[in-house]
Formats: sequence, structure tokens, C-alpha cells
Amino acid sequence: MNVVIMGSGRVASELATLLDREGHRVVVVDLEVTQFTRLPEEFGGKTVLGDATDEEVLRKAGLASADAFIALTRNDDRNAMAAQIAKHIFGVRKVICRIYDPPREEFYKTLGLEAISPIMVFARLVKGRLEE
Amino acid sequence: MYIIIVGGGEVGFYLAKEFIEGGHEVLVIEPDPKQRERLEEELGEISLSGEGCRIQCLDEAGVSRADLFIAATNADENNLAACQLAKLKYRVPRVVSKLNNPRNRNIFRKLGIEITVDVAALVLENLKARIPVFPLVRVLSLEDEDMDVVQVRITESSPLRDKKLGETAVAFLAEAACLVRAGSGPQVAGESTRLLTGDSLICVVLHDKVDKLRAEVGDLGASAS
Repeated sequence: MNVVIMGSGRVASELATLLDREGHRVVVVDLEVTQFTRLPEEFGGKTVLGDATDEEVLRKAGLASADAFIALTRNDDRNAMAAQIAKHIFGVRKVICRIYDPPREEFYKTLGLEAISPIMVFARLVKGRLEE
Repeated sequence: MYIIIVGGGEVGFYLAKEFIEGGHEVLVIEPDPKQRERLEEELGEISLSGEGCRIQCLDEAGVSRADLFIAATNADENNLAACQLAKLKYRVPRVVSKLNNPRNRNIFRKLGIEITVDVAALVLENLKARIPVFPLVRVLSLEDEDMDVVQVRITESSPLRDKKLGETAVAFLAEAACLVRAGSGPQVAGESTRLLTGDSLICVVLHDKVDKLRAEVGDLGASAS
């Protein structure tokens, strides 16, 4: 699978590493070059320095032939914008974006985006453990 | 009208001022206390602390009863998020966004935000209007009508010079043209109007024909439209 990941923070780097180890072709896009140091030395994917809300940067990252796009920066607005560009302009089949703010997670779901709020995921997880 | 402006920077401030002078009810959403202080001092209590892309904040602002919603921050991703919420969640009848990166115009359009104001393009066209080497300058964009008003200058090297209007591409690319000639008032240009060096044509052109016209009048470079 060709996967483009926006952001190279903790979660994004972990995900990139996991996918790379499984043999997928991974491209990581981040605004700051220092963020790429989170990727392990043996990481076999590509890194692209730039703003993933910019159509040209996404094209450079190979979005036109990507099977999946995952937006994982800390900024909900940027994640939502990039995810919508991936879905509606590049027509990427699988698009997932992180939206911290739970009410906005709901809103973007109504727009057809696969939005995940880590806050809600964790809250539900802990609640599930309590009820075990 | 009830008008909500997201972002109390330069654009937001002067917009708010004009709307207030026009007798409208205005609310500016701005997270920065310094910007809010300036708004309060000069325009009164018209600001709300918060971010225009947060649902809690938009609820508090009463966006569902707004007649007009304008996103004027310096970050296009904030403007897009705020406008999408205003339009799709709160059903504001008119939503307008400032564009900081001209390349985002099509993206906004595809994502449902059709009315955008491209600040960089405005500055560029204004500068070009004051530099005589540019044969075509966009004077005004009429977004709703998909039309532009452009000024075509007939320079010494113009391919239109000394031709009748009817013999030039302007005749079939422009919907209407007005001739401006030094020493006489503006007049409607007809097929037989001969174009002379120093003349200007103010043309109404359909948006998707502007680039064609630009090529026909010998423009130096394509603009970011």
C-alpha cells in the first residue's frame, strides 16, 4: 500500500514505522525537519519537508498514487483541510484524520471524513476497562 | 444584519468599523487579548474571546442567527474550518473567506466555500494597475456572476493597436466594452471603434475567458486567478 502521513510527531512516527516494517511504501510530510528525527534509522520510507495543506506539496509526496492518507498533526484545522484535499481533490480511497476536539470530530464525520478524536477514543477505552 | 467576523487583525478591524458605521450588529471573534483591546477601545464591546473554528465559541457567538459570516484570519486552514462550520452546521446564508494563499482558491471552492477574497491577487492587481507595462489588469471580480471587469491598455506594442474593435479578439471574448480615451469622456465601444495608442478598454468578461483575453492582448505573464 502507498501511504502518505501528514505530521511526524509521536503517533505519526510510530505509525510510519509500523507500516514501513510491514513492507508498505510510506511518505511522511512535516513542516519541520527536526521532527523527522523521531523516525528510526532503519526507516525505509520517504520524508517530504513542506506544508501538507498545500496541493503542490501533497503532489510531491505522491498523493496522486496513494492508497491512503492520514493527517496526524496537532492542529485540527490543518488535519481537516489536508484530509479534505486528499479525499476530494486527489480522490484518495482511504483518508483518516485526527481531530482532537470531540464536537468537531462529529461535524467532520457528517461531512464524510473518517475523523478520530484521541480524547474520545481514550475516554471510551478507560470506561471500558472500568466496566470489565 | 447580524455580521460575525472571525479574526480581529487589520482586515477584521476595518470591516467591523465599516459595518458598525453602516448600522449593523457586529461581533468579532478573536483569541488575542491585545487585538481585542484595540477593538474595544475604538469600536466598543463587539468582540468575543475565542477561536472561530471551535463549536463552543460559535454557539456562544450565536452563529445560527447570523446573516453574514466572514473569516478573515491569516491562516487559510482556520478560515476554511470556520466557514465550513458556519455554512454547513449553522446554515449561515452568506459565508465569505479571506484567502491568504492564492493556490487555495480552487480547494475552497471544491470544499463548498465559493466566495473567497484573494488578498495577494488584489494587491498584485492594484500594483499592476499602476504600472503601465501591464496590458491587462483585473479591476473587479464579480464572484456571484462569474464575471470580471478588466482594463485593457492599448500600448505602442499592443496587437490591438490601430485595429477596429470588431477585428480583435476583444469583440468575441468580452461581453461589453467601454472606451476611455484621453481628452474625451468614456463611451461605449462598438465594432467600428478604432483603438489607438494610449486608449483603454474597460471590459466585462466571463471569468473563464479572462486568461484567453490576456493572451490575446499580449500580457507579459499569466496571473494567479
